[in-house]
Amino acid sequence: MAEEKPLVKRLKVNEEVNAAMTKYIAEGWRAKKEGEKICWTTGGGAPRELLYAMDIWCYLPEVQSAVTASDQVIVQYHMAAEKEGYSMDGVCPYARGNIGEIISGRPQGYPPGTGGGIPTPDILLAFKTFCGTLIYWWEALKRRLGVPLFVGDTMFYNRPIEDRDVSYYADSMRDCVSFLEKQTGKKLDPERLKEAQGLSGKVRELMNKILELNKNVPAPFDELDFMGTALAACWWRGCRKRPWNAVEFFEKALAEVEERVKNRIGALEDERFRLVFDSNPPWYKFNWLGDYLAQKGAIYVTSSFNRWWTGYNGFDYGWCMMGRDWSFEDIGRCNIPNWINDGIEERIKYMSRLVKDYRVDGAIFMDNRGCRILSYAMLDEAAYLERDLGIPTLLYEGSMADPRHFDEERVKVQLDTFLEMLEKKKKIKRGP
Amino acid sequence: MCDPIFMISGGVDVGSLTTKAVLLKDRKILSYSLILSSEKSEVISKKAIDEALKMADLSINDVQYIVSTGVGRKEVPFANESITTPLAVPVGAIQVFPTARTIIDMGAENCVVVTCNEKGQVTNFVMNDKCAAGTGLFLETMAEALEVRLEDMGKLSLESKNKVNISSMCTVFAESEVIGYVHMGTNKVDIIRGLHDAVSLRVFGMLNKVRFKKDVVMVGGVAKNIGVVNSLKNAIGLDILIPENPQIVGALGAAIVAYNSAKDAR
Repeated sequence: MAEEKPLVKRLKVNEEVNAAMTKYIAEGWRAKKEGEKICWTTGGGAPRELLYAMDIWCYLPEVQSAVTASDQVIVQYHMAAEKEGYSMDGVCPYARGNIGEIISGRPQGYPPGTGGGIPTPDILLAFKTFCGTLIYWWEALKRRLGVPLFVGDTMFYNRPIEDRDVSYYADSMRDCVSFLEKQTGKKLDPERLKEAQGLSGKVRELMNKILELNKNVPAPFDELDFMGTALAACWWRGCRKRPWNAVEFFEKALAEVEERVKNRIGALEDERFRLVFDSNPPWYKFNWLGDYLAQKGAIYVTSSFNRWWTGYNGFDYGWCMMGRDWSFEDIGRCNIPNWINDGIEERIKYMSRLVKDYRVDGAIFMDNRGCRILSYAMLDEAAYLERDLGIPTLLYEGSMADPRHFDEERVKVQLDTFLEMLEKKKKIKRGP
Repeated sequence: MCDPIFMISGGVDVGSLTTKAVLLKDRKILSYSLILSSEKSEVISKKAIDEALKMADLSINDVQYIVSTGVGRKEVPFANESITTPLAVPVGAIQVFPTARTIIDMGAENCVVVTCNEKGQVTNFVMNDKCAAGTGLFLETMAEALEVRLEDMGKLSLESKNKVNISSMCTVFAESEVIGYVHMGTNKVDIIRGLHDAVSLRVFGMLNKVRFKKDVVMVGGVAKNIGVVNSLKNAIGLDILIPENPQIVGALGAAIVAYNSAKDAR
């Protein structure tokens, strides 16, 4: 069918990231056997640079669940978790996927060549955000796996960040360092932490540069497609080991995107509708979604999601990139601000800026049944974009990692109708 | 045989419960059919169009252009084009009521609210999620729980003197709530009124999402339920226009789109 034909010109660097990911999992298992420490940590707000500075292997169960979802194997893990009482309706699908994977007994030969899922942890590190599930999830992991857990706090703020927030986070960091030193038997070398933070800042700088380039018409890349590379920023931000030094992936990605801009090559041959999306994407429909839109000349040129890994702080990105001493307070200033900790007003402001800066025709929201924190502001965001900016919006239902909450036919109807609506709007603008 | 100077176009709406076909001679309805969607879309759509053709004394070769819509729109082999329900319904509604600017389409499994301009072009829309709440299926399940006929629910609810509150819109939980009221000896007509109010409140939320405006038209099978229509009127504080044949409006819209396409092609 024509719908199945990939139409998005994908970034080549993604393939390298995927290969590196498989290798990172396989190497982690090997390192574990040799006595090196494995840590599972949370996605938003956790100081991953600290782990790399202490030579701890860092794994993100949230990302692992996104990967198992995109590889269409997550539902079996969900069902295993649900059998033990983790409710399909109430518990995050990332958590169900991860806990279910453990219940199912790893390794199961997935992903191929890695000897199983991500290596079993020796240490658990959770930095709480506005997401209430994280702490319960990591506590469940602690009980199941019998490994020590440290809980830090990247607090919900919904206001300008103040010194007291930063000092609170810095105290968490100090406690975290003591905890990790105890677990590893090694002292933190402050110079190594500074180096890791420097690498992390460089990743953020490069990522911002790349995202900015999508303001070009035609857009040089599909925002969904870029998430393959963005994974590296999320996972290996601050890692100096090759081939997992995320700076190198982003340098390659930047060169690839700059080349496209220079030659006016768009991710689509015929770009007709520029879209923004909010929420995590439905990972199990990741490529399908990009191609389905592409078939109709539509492309996601920006999103709230990829900004998570850019040192997002409103629109003040510079802070986390500049050369700093990287005190614990500095790290706090970088790690506290993130989308999930933003209130409604900030999200509205942010989406409005994306719409204007990227010359967006329409905004698509996925009412994410897998994450209410990501979804709670969507109706207000949509209402503002429609009323004050005249931007058509679509809100469809789905889940970031549970395909049972996604009705493909219904989503197609909504996308088709929405794009037809945009087409008519463009015709009216152009005149007869 | 039809005079070739006229344009014959057709619309087929393959819904989850019923399939409808409309034939137009220019923009006027020649005939229509409505049959249960009891077979595969490709079979049932053929039966529906054949029935409409028979009534108009035409053959399929007389029809210049056919557009399909509804859940089974992609499986109509004789259609020249397919469009989604939210695109078809306002075109049909405008044909019946030119002043229509908001259309509520409540079918068996879907509920769609659309705002449109004077040409029937969509300006905003919202669909219900996968949940059956606010659809004909919800009312059908409740009719079974109450042991009344679905088609009697509307009239029965008008007899209500003390409506009850149905707090849950989840079909499963609402059914438990309904059974609870039955066990308490609550009058069935009051329970039905409560159900209609619950449905209309949900649709009211959808109407607000698209910022509805006059005139409001309701189509689809549920539009035949006077109880739901009255509850909705009360909720929005406006009159609601109901076409004579609310179930064929999607097919009518598809037929008009077919007419326009055929005209453009000439």
